Amino acid sequence: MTSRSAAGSTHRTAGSIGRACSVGLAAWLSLAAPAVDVPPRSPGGQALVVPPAELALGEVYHVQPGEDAQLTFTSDAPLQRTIVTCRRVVGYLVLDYEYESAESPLRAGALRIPIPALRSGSESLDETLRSPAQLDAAQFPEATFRLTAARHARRAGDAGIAFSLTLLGELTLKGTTLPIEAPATLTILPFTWRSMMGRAPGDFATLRTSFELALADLGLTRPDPNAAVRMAERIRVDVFLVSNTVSPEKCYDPRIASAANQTYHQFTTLARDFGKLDEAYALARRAAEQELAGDAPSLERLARAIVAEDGLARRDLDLALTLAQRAVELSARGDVPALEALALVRYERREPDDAVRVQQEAVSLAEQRTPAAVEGLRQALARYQAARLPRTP
Amino acid sequence: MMRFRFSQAWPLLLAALGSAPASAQWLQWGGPQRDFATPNTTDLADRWPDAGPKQLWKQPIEHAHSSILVDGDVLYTMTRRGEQDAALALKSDSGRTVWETRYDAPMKPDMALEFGPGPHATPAAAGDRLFTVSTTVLLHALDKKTGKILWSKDLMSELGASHAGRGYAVSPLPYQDLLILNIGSAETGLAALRQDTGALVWKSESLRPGHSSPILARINNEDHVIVAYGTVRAGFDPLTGKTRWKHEVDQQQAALMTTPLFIAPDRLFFTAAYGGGTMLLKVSPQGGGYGAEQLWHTGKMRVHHADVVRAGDVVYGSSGDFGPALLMAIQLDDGKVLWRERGFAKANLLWADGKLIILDEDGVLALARPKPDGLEVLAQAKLLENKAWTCPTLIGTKLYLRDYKTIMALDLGKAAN
Repeated sequence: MTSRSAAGSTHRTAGSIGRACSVGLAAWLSLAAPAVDVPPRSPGGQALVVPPAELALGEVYHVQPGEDAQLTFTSDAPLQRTIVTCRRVVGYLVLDYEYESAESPLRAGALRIPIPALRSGSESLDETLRSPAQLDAAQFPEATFRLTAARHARRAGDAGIAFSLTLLGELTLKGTTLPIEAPATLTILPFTWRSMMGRAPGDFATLRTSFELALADLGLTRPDPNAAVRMAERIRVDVFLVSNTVSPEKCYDPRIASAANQTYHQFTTLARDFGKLDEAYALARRAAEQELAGDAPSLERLARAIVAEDGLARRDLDLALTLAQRAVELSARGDVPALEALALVRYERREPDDAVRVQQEAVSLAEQRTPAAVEGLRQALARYQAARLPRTP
Repeated sequence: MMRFRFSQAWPLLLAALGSAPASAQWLQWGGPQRDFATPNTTDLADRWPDAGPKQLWKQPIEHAHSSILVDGDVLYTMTRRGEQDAALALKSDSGRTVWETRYDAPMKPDMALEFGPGPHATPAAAGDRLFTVSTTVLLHALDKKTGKILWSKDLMSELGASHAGRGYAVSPLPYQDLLILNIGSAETGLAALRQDTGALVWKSESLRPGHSSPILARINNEDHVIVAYGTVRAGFDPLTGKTRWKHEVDQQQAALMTTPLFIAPDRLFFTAAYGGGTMLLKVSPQGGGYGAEQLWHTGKMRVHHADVVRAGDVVYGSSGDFGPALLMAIQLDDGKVLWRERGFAKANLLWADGKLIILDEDGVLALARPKPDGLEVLAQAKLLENKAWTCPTLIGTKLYLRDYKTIMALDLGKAAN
């Protein structure tokens, strides 16, 4: 079902997005302005649900958020250079299984870009960007991109299996859909032990492209005519996406069930990607009391996310302590990662004496059970010890 | 007319009483030929009720990856009890315990146990004995009828065997009166021990430790023990441990966990995950010995720790390690992928009655008919829980399967469904 706004943009109703997500994330995203024909996020929020028709086209490579400057918007004005980066783009590319010989290796693709995750390095500028006068993150929390075609593919380059091609797609931002056509490089890097195991275990594909957009195309306006010296009329957009055949939601800890893993990703998506901290902490509290109540590894994982995950504007350290303590109790103080997480929480709460005590317990246990982990634990212990105030004689 | 004398019948009668018919036996990892195929099975149903095929019985069991042996009316498998391994003999018609033998098998401090302490290897039954191997390479020979321990060997202490990080998973290979195992130490690749006493008979040249179980192949009228460890694919004389041939592959193919497939008269199929890909090797007599040459290699099929099965000129396997698994058909002649099917998680396969029996790690059991251009799924039902990594066992139409908590028997036959 589609509708037209007064401004003439075309968009689907929110229900088609909300249906595929679960409580919390879905409830919030269902209030957001919808996007044109871009598949919804997975229940955990860190991937997109690839439609069956696209699954049949080839191998799915999931965009890997977190490590890269995936999108960079550069405004080069006479008196100011502003670079806004997003590291939390989620999405996928579908590549032909026989990409080496396919006429067009790139068969499908879609992206979702959380507007609250755009960062300039200046908190006041970030707030301005999110404001109703600019990108209006409250009403339009996501921008989307839908690949409509990839043409003129030809082999290029030496690293991996590289193709230069022309990308065509639709970028929807603040309710407006723009056609995009840009040259791009697609590089496929099959897994090798040496170079890749530290990043992700599947095959990689990277996509690079650059193009320019007018300020107005991006839904941005200069606050006054004099701002021309600080905000360029045209913004360069650089795209670098790393994708992998393994989903970013994949959990490698066999102790954590898929439902618990989904809860963890829902929390980080809400808190980190969309800045919805109240909703995120409410979700974590509810989960800790209900479906994760007896799940020590998942409670420990949530505690760590609260204290250590990048990009959380506010950290509920009381909740983190509750979760970490519960994990230690459930594991009868016999699990090194749970003790380590509790020590970290104590340290972040500026309770170094408690941090040292618990970390020493973790070190002693690791010496018996997991000697390979001892060195790292001792390094953290040294950090906690250094944080203790000197005792007066 | 010649009269049939009782004396002539006597050996036949003894034979009938003393051993189960060959069709009712699955005495080692992978079945009679270690190829996960049951060529004599017929009459599998083409469909089941939504709840699954007829369940004969279900019993609780504890964590282990060992698959299930069948010897007449007795099943053998392994489980874990605290710090001990337990070998189990169960009645095949009820799952009730005939005997259980436990022995201490404490883990080593340098083991990565996130997938549990096992046992991972499947026992082997030969003659009157059952041979079990723990994740710390404790080898035991037990009396099949009583479970009494006849002899045991600590192969880590005695031969420097490796637990390979996550625990030894190589299923022992019985050969005549020997038992052959991967040792994976600096001095010893394979070792053969006498089945009756455990005495060491031979040690081969060094090989890296690994998780793939060896197979036997008859090439050029000689038996070869086929192994894949690290970057080596090799054939050994099973009576002496002498290397018959060796083929080196690149490091990318080193993480091979699947069991090789032998395609008579002289080809071997290997598949590895983590980017390793799939290879067909041809072994030929050369200069008084043997040589091996790669016929083809493809990166398109990469099977992790499940098995592969062959039907005619096609091999079927569940390709994929941490990402989604794709059930694939690959042509033996040239390595071309004939089709890929989504819809199942990483899966173990059996081949029987012209059909694939699929058990994926999410516990979904399915029956499917492969076709030249795809897979026709005839029936499926979720019967076990994640992670159902143990390869099931098929005898006639009876399927035995397990996960970390449950062991069950099903009847897949037409009459029962």
